Amino acid sequence: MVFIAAALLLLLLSGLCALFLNNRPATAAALCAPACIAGCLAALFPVFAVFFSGQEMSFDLLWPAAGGLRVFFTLDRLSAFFLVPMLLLSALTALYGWGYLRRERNSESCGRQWFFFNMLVASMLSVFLAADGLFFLFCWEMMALSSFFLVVSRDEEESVRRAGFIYLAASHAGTAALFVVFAFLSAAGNSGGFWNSAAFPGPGDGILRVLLLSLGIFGFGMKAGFIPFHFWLPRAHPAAPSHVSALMSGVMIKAGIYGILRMFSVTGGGEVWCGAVLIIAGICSGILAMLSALNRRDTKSVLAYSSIENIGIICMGTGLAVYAASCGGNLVCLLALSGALLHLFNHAFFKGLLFMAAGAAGKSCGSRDPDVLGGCAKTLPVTSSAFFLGAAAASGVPLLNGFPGKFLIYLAAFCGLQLKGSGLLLPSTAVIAGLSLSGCLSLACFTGLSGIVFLGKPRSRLDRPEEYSALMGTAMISAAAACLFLTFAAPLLSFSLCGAVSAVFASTDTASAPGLADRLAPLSCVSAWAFALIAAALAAKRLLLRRRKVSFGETWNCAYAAADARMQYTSASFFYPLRRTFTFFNSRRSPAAVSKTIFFPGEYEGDDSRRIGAFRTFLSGIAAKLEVSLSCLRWLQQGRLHIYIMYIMAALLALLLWKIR
Amino acid sequence: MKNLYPLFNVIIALAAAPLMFGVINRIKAFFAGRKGPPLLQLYFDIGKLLRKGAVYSRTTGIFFRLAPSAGLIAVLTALLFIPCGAYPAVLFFPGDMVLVVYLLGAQRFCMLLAALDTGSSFEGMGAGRDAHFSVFSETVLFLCLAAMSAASGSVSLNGMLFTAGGRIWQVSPPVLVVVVFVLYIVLLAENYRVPFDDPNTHLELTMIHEVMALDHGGPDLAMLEYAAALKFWILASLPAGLLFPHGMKPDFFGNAALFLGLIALTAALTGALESCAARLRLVKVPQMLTAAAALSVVALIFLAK
Amino acid sequence: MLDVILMLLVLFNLFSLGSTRISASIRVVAYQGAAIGVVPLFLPGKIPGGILVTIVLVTLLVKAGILPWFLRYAQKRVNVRREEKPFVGASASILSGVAALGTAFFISSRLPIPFAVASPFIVPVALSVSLTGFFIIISRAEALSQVIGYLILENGIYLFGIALLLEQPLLVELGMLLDVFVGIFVMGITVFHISREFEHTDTSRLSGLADWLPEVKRSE
Repeated sequence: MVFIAAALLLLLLSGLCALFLNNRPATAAALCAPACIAGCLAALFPVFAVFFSGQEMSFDLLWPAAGGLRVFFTLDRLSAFFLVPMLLLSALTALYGWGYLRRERNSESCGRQWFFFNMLVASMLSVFLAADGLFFLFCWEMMALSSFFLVVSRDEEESVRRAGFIYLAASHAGTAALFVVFAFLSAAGNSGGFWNSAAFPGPGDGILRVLLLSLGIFGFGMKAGFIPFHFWLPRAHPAAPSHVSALMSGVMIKAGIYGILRMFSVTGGGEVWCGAVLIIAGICSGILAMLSALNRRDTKSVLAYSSIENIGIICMGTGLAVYAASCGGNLVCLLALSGALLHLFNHAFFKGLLFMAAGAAGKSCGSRDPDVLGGCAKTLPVTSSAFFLGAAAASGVPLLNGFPGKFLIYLAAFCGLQLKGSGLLLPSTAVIAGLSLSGCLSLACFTGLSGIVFLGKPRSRLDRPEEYSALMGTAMISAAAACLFLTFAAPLLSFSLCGAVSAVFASTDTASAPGLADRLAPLSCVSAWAFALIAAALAAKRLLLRRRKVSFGETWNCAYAAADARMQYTSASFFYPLRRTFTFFNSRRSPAAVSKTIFFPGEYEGDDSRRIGAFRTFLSGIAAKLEVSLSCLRWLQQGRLHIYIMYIMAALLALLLWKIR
Repeated sequence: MKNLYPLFNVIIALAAAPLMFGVINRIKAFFAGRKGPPLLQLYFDIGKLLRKGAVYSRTTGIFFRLAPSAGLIAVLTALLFIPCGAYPAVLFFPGDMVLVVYLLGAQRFCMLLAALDTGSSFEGMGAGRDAHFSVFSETVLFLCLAAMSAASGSVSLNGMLFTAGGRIWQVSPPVLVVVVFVLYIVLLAENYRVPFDDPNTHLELTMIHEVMALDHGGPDLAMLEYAAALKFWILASLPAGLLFPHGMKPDFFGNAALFLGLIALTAALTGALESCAARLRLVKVPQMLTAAAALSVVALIFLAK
Repeated sequence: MLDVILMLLVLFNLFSLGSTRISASIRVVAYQGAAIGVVPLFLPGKIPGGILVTIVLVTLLVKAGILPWFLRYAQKRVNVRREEKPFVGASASILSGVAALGTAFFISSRLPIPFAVASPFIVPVALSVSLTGFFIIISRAEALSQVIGYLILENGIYLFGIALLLEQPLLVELGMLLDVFVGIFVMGITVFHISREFEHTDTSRLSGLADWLPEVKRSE
């Protein structure tokens, strides 16, 4: 525990010092970044101790000077599981930020940025450790505020300010819901730590339990960012500087999942409807987010939507686990939640890697618009290899990071299909369909994105881009190495996975740890075997070609030799078939072109931006809709026979369902 | 010795996979009233390509050189998990069907990036269409696997096709006929055959897979063609495994001959379909695959009872 | 064998949902009627053989012979080839059909049926056929499509009846058949009159039931 206190102190002090170094970006970076890295590494010691051994630690201090604030830290297995990726990713992003911000030309706010960065890391560390209600909320609010100030770092741009405002509003709406939940729980007594309290209403107090669970899901969901609470994510993450986006996508939204899991652990495993809600939200997030990610003008926007999709996958796993725990499928519960947690762990690393590489490419090339870039891979070897690795991991290529978590969730769903009569058929099928659809969509999205940004020929006259900073390169290489390591090391995590799962659902036991490792070990073996074979195949090909003539020419292009860079596929063309099939979710009607003659097209003004129309108006339309709905009710009277028959059928069906309930 | 039989089956699969494309072409020629290419044509082609040099486009980078090898190894690894008739697969573990589908997806990942690496609009077009269709065909494949898993009570491909064996048909025969039909549609979609893509034409309006292989040559193209043949074998093994007469309990050579016969029958059916049916309009392909998905969900619902 | 017929009925449902061509739908309704007509042969029941054969023959004659013939005659008179503007597209219709099948299975698992049925799939399939018929009526604009939907709905109710009413089916079944027969004739005559009066049979344009007409935005 001493290490953690030392880490927090180091982070806060270096941040405070940075406030005075506003005009010297290099010094501020050189002070804060190593301090942050050192703090994170120091805090890793006790975390690894708990991670690998399973013994819990806690630290309780009542601080009357601060108005009775109780500083209660508990490092148990669930916290340790979340803290390992958090600390490692914070260290990596600090290193990346050092290189990113060192050469910043608008340097007025550098010191402030590092202050808030360190505050963010410190508050996230405290959030995962906090065990007292009020203290948890204090750290949660600090996390939200420091990330808000980081998001609006470049506040001279209107879109950044707006993104920050929406983020702050959403975050505080969530925190307000959490206040209600925590107020209720702490009123019932908080000895022995908040998370151990039995104050949550049991299954007997029906309406109160439902209300508190819903508020908890709403509050934590606002931070996690699954649909329908996702609307702040695609604006805030691209607006922030890249190292902050990496940290936010990789760790901060996981704090929402952490809160939901803690809530379920307090309520004794949640209810069936919680599981169903999470599964539906997860499936919608997975599919709709990836549909919105196609053809974006900003690579970081695509990555933000991909984060929503991955949170959706984690929600699907968590929801299936909760559903199965209420239905008696213990194996399904263990596998599903382990899969969700493992994917969470892996996602932190590959998403951090992707954001770092996207930011580096943006800095080197001067633009983040895929339709302007192209062909960077030859001059940006480190950035492009890092991005390809991250893209392969995000698409779920089995040889890399992103697959083991999804694999466990699939396995859980397939096992759920076997339990006939336990009601797990529908959720399992839905999870399988949702996972496969979102996986395929993310494969399409990431191949398109990485192919268009890094491969082919440059689509506009850019200066020859060069790697921006060696520090950023080091951070990216370390993150890539971590991703590769995690593919082979997944079985090593099984002990702590079981521990984390048993912290949430008390019915599963840690004796099943070897079973989990057995299920993950074949994946690592297959990956190792495949990498070895690929190396062998490449060597064989090289041997074959050594005596033969290898020449270079132009791309075939069906014998059209004058093809220039503008004839390549852009992201709009690559994603056109997909967008066309899914127009229901994706398009906004543009006005038809008005033609003055029958021969030539007329002038046309349209808007190519798309959002998920229904959810875009979620908040802003509520007030307006209330006003309109009164006159909107007349819409019921259509005058068409079809509609009236539909009303009859719907009423009959509803009566039948209500009767057989 | 008996333990090595699965390995021998894999060797037979590796040797016999290119033969299936020969069968398809021969059947197509028969329908067209021609004599057609020899059955072993693909072997000759691969041999010729392996003896050639290579021409690389200056636009391409290291990915283009990496992709065919990586794709071939991915498909090869997937082959190890497929049981062959009345003998188990070489490797099996719970959930291996997910790994098999995602390994085929990994091969697609390599192909798509290699296509975008050339900077050609033709290859980009093929890549866009392939990405589009894979969204549907992979989902349908997963729903079929879910139906097979629910029917056989096992979570491993080996369990579904080998251990459950003939028992899987006692669950509900008409449902499994539907599953076999949908698996066949997935085979056609993933291997770019009619009615989803016409492998014969080289017009830009109709190409999906052929266009992505345009710039590869020499050993790279040999690897791509062989990987395509292996993918056909893998996807044909699924319905063949369901239709295999497990009650017969054949010996090793009989088993191999029977399985080979079933896959050759699938190839012949594919050839006949290519001769008799036309390609679907590209906008109709998602509708067809959605109907296939609906059929597999219907099969699942019936199996839930 | 009964399971094969029930699976075929579900496949016919999906086909009728997915196709917009009127002649194909009429053919599918004929096949569906034929399949349902043969079902009583596979039910274990205490119906004497002669009556059973009579029921089967009459049903086959009406459902698979007379009514489809009449529909084809109506189609030729009104000269409509395909459903031009359905409210729900083909893929969405098929997926809704699958959802209807799932709902039917869910409902039938909760229905308290007091005696054993020949196959656990009969009641769900019958319900799903009825739901499919309803869906076709709601989602298609063409008048003939509505008649086809009504026929499919009656097919489902008929199947439900013969599955459960094993004791005294003759009177009930013949009564239902008569009802369907008369209904189809009335509908056919109405369709002729609509076609003659308005020169089209697009029921989405017949909105005179409302006293307040919404602005119908037709996307041409």
